[in-house]
Amino acid sequence: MDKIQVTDEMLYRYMPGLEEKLLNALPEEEEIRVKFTEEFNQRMEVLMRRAKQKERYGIPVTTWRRMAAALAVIIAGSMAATMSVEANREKLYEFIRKVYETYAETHYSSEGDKVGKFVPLYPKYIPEGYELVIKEEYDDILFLSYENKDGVHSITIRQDQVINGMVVADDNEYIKEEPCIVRDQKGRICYKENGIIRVLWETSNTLHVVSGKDISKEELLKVCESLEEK
Amino acid sequence: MLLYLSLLDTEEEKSKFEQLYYQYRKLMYLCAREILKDDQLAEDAVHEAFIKLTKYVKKINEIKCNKTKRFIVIVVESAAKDIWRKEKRNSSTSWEDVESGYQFPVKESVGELSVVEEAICRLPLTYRQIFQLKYGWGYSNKEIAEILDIREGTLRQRLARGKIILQEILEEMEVHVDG
Repeated sequence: MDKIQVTDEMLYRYMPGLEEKLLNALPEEEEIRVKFTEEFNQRMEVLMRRAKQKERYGIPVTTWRRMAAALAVIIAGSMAATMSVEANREKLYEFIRKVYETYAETHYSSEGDKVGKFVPLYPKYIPEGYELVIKEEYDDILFLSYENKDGVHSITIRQDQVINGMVVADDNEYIKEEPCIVRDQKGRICYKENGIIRVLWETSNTLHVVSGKDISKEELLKVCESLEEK
Repeated sequence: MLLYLSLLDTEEEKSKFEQLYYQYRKLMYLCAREILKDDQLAEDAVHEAFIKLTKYVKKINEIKCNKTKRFIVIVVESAAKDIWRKEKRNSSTSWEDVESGYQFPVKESVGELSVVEEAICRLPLTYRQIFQLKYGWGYSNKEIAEILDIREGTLRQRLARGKIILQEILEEMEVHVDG
């Protein structure tokens, strides 16, 4: 009897069959019971949106966004003579918003590629004991996540620049919804079964979502009201 | 959850990245969880893995096949390894213990294996991954080095070292061939 020798030939012979056995034994996605956290879902949505744009245009998204923003600034410059900054933004970034209630979808469209400059807003107020754990900042998205010390309670702030052709689908899993006014804009407060409260509102070219787990509505609105440009 | 489906609407047009995400996110989480033994770090590993996957998404032809599944699993295992080294290097367990003990899927669900297959499964993760990519799926050394983020020289060393370890395991198991 000889010792078995480990060679390339031997490995090429055994590995494909073993791989099939190992991979076929892995559970199917629908068999796995995992509940991802709200924070994870939001971070992945941000990543997916960026990946889609990269896939679609084949150029780094940041470059494309910078070009769009620069173009908008030029247009703004030529029209701005007597308008205030806020009025100017409203004029430039008028999106047509169609809400399809059956599918809980909102479709955004605008003339041409006028998307406007994305101006991220940062909170001046965050409840005591919370600290910033995630900050993802791009030319068209801002995502901030705060956690308290025990890591159980969290607040997330997300701002997405609305672009032409964008579709936002809401999962509609709310147990209660109520209208509200946030930063002089009409918005809504949505409550989920798992203790998450979400405040949603729009400005001229940005969709704002501020969520909190096990935090009072009043505290969350205070965070929303404290948002300011850097 | 709010989903931002900007620019792409139909099923056909659905981003490949998105398809990968919905096809594998839970499996990836399980793999990462098995290595890190921590829910939050496992989510971080899945997120990191998907950031890495944005680089490779164009090279993936078929979403639902074993080759893609292996690739995805290796990417998340590597992400979990990086996180483990950052977050847990001061723990009492060494990385070598973790990777030697990491078996996913669990042996019972795999069914019957030959002794050689059994020996390959006992290899530490670092070497097993390389063998899987090279001998299981035919990736070139250059491709493997890129996927695992190591130099080709390091890869060659690990290939050689992996063969020696496998030889030792086989000897320990007293595996012989009739000659």
